[in-house]
Amino acid sequence: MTALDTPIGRRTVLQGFLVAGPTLAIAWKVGLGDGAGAFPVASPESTDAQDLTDHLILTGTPGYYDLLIEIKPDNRVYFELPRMEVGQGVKTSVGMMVADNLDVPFESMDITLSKAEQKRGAGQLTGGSHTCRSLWDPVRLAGARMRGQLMAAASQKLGIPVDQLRTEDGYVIARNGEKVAYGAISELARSFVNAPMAAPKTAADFKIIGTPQHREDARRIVTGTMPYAMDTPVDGALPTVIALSATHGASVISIEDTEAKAMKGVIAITHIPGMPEYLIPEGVAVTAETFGIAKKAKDVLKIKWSAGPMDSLSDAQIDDLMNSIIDQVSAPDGEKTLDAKFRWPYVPHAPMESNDAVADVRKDSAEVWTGCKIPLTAHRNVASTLGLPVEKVTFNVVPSGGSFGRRLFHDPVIHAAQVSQRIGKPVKLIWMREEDIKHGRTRPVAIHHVRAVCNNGDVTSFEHRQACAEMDLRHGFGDVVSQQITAYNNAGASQYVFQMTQKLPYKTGFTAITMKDKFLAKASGALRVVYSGQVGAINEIVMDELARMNGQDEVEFRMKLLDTDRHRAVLKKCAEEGSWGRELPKGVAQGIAMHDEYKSVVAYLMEIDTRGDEPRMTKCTIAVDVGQCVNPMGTASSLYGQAMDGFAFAFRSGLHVDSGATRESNFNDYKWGRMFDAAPEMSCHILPTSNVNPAGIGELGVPAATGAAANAWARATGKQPRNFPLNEYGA
Amino acid sequence: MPQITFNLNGNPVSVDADNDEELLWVLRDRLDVKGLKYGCGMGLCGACTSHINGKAQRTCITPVSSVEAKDVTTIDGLAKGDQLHPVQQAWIDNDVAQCGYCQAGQIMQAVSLLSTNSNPTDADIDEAMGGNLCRCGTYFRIRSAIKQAARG
Repeated sequence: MTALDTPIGRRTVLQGFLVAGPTLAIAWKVGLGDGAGAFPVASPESTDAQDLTDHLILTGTPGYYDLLIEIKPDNRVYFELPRMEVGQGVKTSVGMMVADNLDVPFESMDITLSKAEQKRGAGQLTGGSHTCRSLWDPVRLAGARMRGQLMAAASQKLGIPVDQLRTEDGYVIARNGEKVAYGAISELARSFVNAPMAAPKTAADFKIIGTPQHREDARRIVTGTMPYAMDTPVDGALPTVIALSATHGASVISIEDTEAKAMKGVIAITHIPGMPEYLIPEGVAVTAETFGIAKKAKDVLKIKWSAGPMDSLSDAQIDDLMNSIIDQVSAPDGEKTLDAKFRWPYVPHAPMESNDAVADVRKDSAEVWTGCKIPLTAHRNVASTLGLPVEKVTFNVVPSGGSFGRRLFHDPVIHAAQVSQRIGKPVKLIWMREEDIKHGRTRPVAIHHVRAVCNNGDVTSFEHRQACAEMDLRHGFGDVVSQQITAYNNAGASQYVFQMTQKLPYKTGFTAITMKDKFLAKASGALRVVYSGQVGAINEIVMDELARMNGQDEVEFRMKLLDTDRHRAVLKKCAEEGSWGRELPKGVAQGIAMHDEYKSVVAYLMEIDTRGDEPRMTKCTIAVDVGQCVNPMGTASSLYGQAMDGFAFAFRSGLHVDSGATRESNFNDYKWGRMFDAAPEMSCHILPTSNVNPAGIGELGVPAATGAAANAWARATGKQPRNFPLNEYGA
Repeated sequence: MPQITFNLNGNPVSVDADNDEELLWVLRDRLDVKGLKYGCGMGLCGACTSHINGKAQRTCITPVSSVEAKDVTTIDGLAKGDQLHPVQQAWIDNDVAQCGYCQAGQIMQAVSLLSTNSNPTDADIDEAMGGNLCRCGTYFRIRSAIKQAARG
């Protein structure tokens, strides 16, 4: 008996697929696959052998084969996606994968998100841009298995041998034209546990994968009926906001709430501890009839806060700290030497939906609803803070209005659960925008020192030393083991993630890319493309400057140094489609940059007009190799959005720290790209590929977009991009 | 607590609320209208944009008393039954949305723009839509969708 042949209970993974309930469903487990890599040393080459994508797929694989796909009697297909939808489009793309492999129309899919399920181990993480890749084989094999059972059932029902049957559009069809809907034989198919598996599909068989598909939730979005966490219909859930500390890491000494409590409509004011071991802050919650009343009451609270651990630090002192820990560059001067320092400020994720969650905590159980990318860690932590066994907590994962890394963290659901438990009522809690900008997670502040040396027109050494505020990775990857490791050795985890994500795809002689970090109380975390948003963008700025230093064209210089034909094909396509080198008015210029991560390669060519008050993007051309592209429409949308990230990080976005407090508080002083920044002309060119697996796309473009924006600005102005954002510091 | 009466998505409603309560929260928390969204609370992002007498307004800074006897239309009331407004259809055709959270406000702002300018230029779109933030960066497709809706 093979591992695939033992029927078991609904959605329980032991050694087989499952068949239970009124309709056909399936779940599998297979081995871990080949080639667990060694722990890498600090070298960009280590990512060629194993990168973070490999790590996530290796550790999560057992859970990936536990999928719930049910064919209903009305021939609709219910699919629970064990991932998080934040606008990156995975409900659509994985839904396409299921529909194609099962031979059903995409329109017949009803797709929802799985609750947190501890049995998944590490297999319920949305991060590291590995959703399509990690679910690719599980979905292919599940579809083939289900088609095999359906054909066996149809054979019995129609009295026609299986070899005269095929599947298409939700039907099993016989050569003689007879056909039967999946839904009519779904229950019967449950009993055919030993039916031979149909042939798994390959690229030549795909009808949906690789074709442009609109978002499955588009109609709900445009009609305002898409339910986000705050729209969850939980009876009696009370609007709740939270006041957080004056300076980072401070704690409550006393609360004077007489005036707030006297306000009409205020229901409760609750001191909650947060979860300091996960950097989830202590705060004072205000619960009221409406969020408007709650916010007004919050604003009149008089809270006395302790001093915070970084009250003596403003931006200048933070820079001094970073300079005191940064690795030294070591290469001697060559014929030409570039030696430069760069700085990135703290940048918040600032998704349009602020930090929020709903919690209904009862005496012996609890249910919560929130957008969450690592729900297994969050689930355990909610149970822990409530003092309940984890199986008594139901953790619903709700699509959210953006993330960019913000939803890796579970601050709001801990707060909501703590308030609900203390006041004995269900609550819906929002961090108002001011709390999210001041106290939300951030891409860490960073100083970079790059020293690159050229001899005879070649790059003979390339050193890139980053020093940054320690990135909070205490959330782990969802499994118990990594959560324990990261919670107690975050600095080790940050080194590991840095080394597993850095790659310089050029021939640069002696190459070292290293990072040192230091814990600061201002909360940080992974923001879209993690460390590469800073390191990768600077690498590309340096490549441009090295080309000009050697009197060479920026594209030709890269073509000469790139590692592989795959990289060269992407760069060539981008330069051609974007008319690299075309005539532009003085003050307007093109900039080009590349990035390699998540098994994908991308190039951006951006045109920036510097003649007005602020730089403006006037054109953007993108070329990408994403392996097997699942949804070209979603791929282009994501990469266009990442062009806006790059533009904003290069020119406009950043926070300041004044004596341990964040200066900015809302979208008036924290600035992001707007309509008038966006290029009216954009195009995305997806290269044909020999790679049969999909690669990552959801954050891939940010370093290249940032680098292209900065390089265009440099070529238009003759200045060197060093200190970001350039609108503030680039003069 | 005063009672305020207005037309909401074509139907008369009365609600008990203090005069200075923001329309956004009266609609969401007292009248269970969920299509409009909170983003900033200061009229800086446009996620809450709805129409008051046909014109786009930021409901997060609109006192509810100011809509007495007026017509309030949110994204929830833009379509006529199953018949989408042409701007909504253009949004679907251009696959504008990513996370979708800001799009109710974007659509209401675009409808307001097109009601006074049936053929907006890029500069008109930049000006009219500049107050509506989209963190996913869907601006390129918003522009295309507005132009499609304008063509009719």
